[in-house]
Amino acid sequence: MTLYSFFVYNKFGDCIYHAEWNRSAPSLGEGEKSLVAGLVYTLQHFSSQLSSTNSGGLKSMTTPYYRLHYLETMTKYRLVLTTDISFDVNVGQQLLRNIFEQVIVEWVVKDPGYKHEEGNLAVSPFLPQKLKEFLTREKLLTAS
Amino acid sequence: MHSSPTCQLCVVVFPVKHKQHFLMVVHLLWIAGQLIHRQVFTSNDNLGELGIKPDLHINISSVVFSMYSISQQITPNNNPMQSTGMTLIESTEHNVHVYETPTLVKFIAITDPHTSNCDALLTEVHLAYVDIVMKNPFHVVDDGGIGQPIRIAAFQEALRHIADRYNEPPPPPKR
Repeated sequence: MTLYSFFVYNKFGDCIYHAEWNRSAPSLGEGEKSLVAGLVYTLQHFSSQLSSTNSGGLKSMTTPYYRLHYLETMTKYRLVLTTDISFDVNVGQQLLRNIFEQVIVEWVVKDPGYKHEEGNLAVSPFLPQKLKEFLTREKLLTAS
Repeated sequence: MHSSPTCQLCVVVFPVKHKQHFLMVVHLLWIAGQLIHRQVFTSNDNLGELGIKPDLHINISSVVFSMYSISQQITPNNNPMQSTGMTLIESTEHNVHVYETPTLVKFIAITDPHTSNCDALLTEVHLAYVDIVMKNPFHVVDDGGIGQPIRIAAFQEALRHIADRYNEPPPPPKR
């Protein structure tokens, strides 16, 4: 159950947070955030086009090498997590929801200095540490 | 548990566990992404906007084709040049399965969200494609690098049979 990377996008598509662990392929740098944003936006739109009830949304995308989990909240925050294939889809969904409720809401949304505005990428400096603590408690990251 | 009023028999019914798919749409994409075959196996109600506007088939297959190569590029744990793209997209109401042959032809199956593995079905589609389309001397394979749509009735029939076999409802429980 390995985690590879984590992205948080605000409702304007800006990447407000990005983290990586255990990554073995070379990173594509800044372009990767846009690639992932484009990929999940397109897949989400595609899922809602197929849906008959207006609530169709993307849950995950699996390749032979990794699995990408996606969660879009009602306030249009988009969370993307890539993991290895053994990570079950429903576990991933629940994990993303917990990360949003316990880490993002607490340390980004409730931060009085943060505004959900286009171009505002300044998030609390506590966020990386709090996320790491959360994932270590969940035993998904080894405490270092 | 069923007990008849006329006799004291008690019959316990065990429902038969049947591996069931619900295949909705199949697309065949040629090497550069051209949609060369599409077939729908369900009513339009299950397909949302795609059911209302059938022109979206080309749109949707192009999206899957492009996203396939992006999903290969962002592979975090392997060299992107040696990776492959996505095999499965899961959303709340559908699953989309992608199967790529070594010759870069892609078979895409859209199913219900409970079908997790469509490999057996797509392998059969691949076999039907090889036997009925590739071996057919009248099928134009590649006209100037552009994939030609498949106009062979037998192929549609074969896909219809494969879909019927996999979409079978579970047999009724034996009394």
